[in-house]
Amino acid sequence: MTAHTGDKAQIRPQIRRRNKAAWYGAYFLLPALVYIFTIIIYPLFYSLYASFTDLRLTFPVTRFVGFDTYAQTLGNDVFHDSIIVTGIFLVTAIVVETILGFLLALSFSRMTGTHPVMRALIMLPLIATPVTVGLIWKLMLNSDFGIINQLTDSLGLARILWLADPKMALVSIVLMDVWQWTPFMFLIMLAGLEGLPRDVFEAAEVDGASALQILRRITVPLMKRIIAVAVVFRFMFAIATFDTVFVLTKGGPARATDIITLFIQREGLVNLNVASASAASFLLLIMVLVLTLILFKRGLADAR
Amino acid sequence: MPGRAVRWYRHALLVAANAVIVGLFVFPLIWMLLGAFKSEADLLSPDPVWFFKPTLEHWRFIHDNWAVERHLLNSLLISVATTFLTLVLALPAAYGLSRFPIWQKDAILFDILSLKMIPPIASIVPLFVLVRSVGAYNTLAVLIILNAAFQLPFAILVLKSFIDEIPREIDEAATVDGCRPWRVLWKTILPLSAPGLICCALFVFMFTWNEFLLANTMVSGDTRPLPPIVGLALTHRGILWGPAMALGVVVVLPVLFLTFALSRYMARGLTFGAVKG
Repeated sequence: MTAHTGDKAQIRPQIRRRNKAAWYGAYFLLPALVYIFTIIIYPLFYSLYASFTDLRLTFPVTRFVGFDTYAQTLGNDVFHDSIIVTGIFLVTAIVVETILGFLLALSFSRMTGTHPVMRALIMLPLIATPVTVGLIWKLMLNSDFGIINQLTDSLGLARILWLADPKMALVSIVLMDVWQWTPFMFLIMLAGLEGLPRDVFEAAEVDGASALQILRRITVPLMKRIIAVAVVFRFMFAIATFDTVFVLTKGGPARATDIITLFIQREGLVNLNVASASAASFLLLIMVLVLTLILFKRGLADAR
Repeated sequence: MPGRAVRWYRHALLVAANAVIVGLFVFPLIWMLLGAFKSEADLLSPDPVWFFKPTLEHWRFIHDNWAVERHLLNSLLISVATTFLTLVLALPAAYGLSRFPIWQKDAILFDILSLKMIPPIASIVPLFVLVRSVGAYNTLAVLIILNAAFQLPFAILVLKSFIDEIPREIDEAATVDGCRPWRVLWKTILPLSAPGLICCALFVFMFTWNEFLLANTMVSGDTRPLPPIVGLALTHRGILWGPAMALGVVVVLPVLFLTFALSRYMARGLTFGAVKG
């Protein structure tokens, strides 16, 4: 608004128009916001209340217990192990997916011409129903008649108990996740690579830079921001991982793959201990919030 | 990317290598398709079975024992209704965020995005208690209403990214002609954002179709859509591999067709409009 040029009589209607526009904007936005608030935010407040009680759906009387439920959850070994398993799962899966996705995108971007069919086919894991993905991998990783062990057998390698050995079970859920989500990293990185300015690369080649130098000095620095975006989004989806692992291992064996979402689901919807599930949810939310602040604020800001 | 002149055979090698990788990503789904037509003996064979006499026994099983058509119909109803409800709420919101000066707009946009940071399970536990207390447990409507809420943040952000691309002059011209904002939305934004709406609709349809947690929690028996039925294959006495694979094909097939429609927008959709692919 250029207040110093016109006189006051001219400014007024402008401000009024702006205010009116703001009101219209609010009208348009309001229904959606109210809807989201009622169905997603309000239950979270209810959950916050529940986390300070001993609410169990199997028990009629509910008492206010202050921080007792939180203390119990924090002191619970199952919760601890779950957080550790979640951490290992998230870090390994996201690191592997980022590296593989980047390499694959580089490899694809070297092909002349777009290959729409290949590109569409590689997206299939992203689109396939996660529960089904869990079942397919359960069949493929079966130690007696799974195709993966049959392959390692034919190569003369030792038989691996993918789902029965606790360590290998964790590897298995990472493997399945890598299959399912590498295409996501690939797609975003490919979009990023295709958007890079060509002339920089041409100049570098004229100057006689090697392929590795170009990759390290030009491609990776230019891609930093898009990699950060991809990782942030991947983290966001990965923390909610449930269906695939629920079907593949259900957290077992011996809780080796008991990621936090499985813990909350079991506490809240199977044991019907709503207080404990709520406390665990809020502890998770606090951790996510802190991580998000670091990832978002630092990661995205640095990359910019 | 570097426009290096590679000799044709090197390029052919590159294409072949990439095709092999694509094959690795597609293979598990093909294995499922084959499994759906294999006999129990072939499925449990200690050696991989590539050629076999196809059987329809598992298809008969999922028809006779799991009433697959009924749950397929539920899935369709829920997904279509959720998509419609989501778009009806998301379009005005996206238009408002794209075109009007709204107080604290950036903060609102960031909050909508960060809503997605909350794992759905955190809201589903309290929602389960609330839904039961209002007596809405086990209705199709509750699944539609809840799914729409979970899809809204996504739909708003993606639609906004599409509306942002419509030149402002067009709706400004309509405003000068005396159109009120609602009419501008109806007459110009709605038709012009058709590609965005379709893209958004397909994504919401896909997410809802694949959704398992809400479907497994809020309904039971005949009201369930397909994904919880897949879980029926995991019985106490062991896993019904054949029916599981057949049902898997039924669940995955409809959304597989969406891939080709969505492939152009996949990167954009999955980053809520942050990356233009």
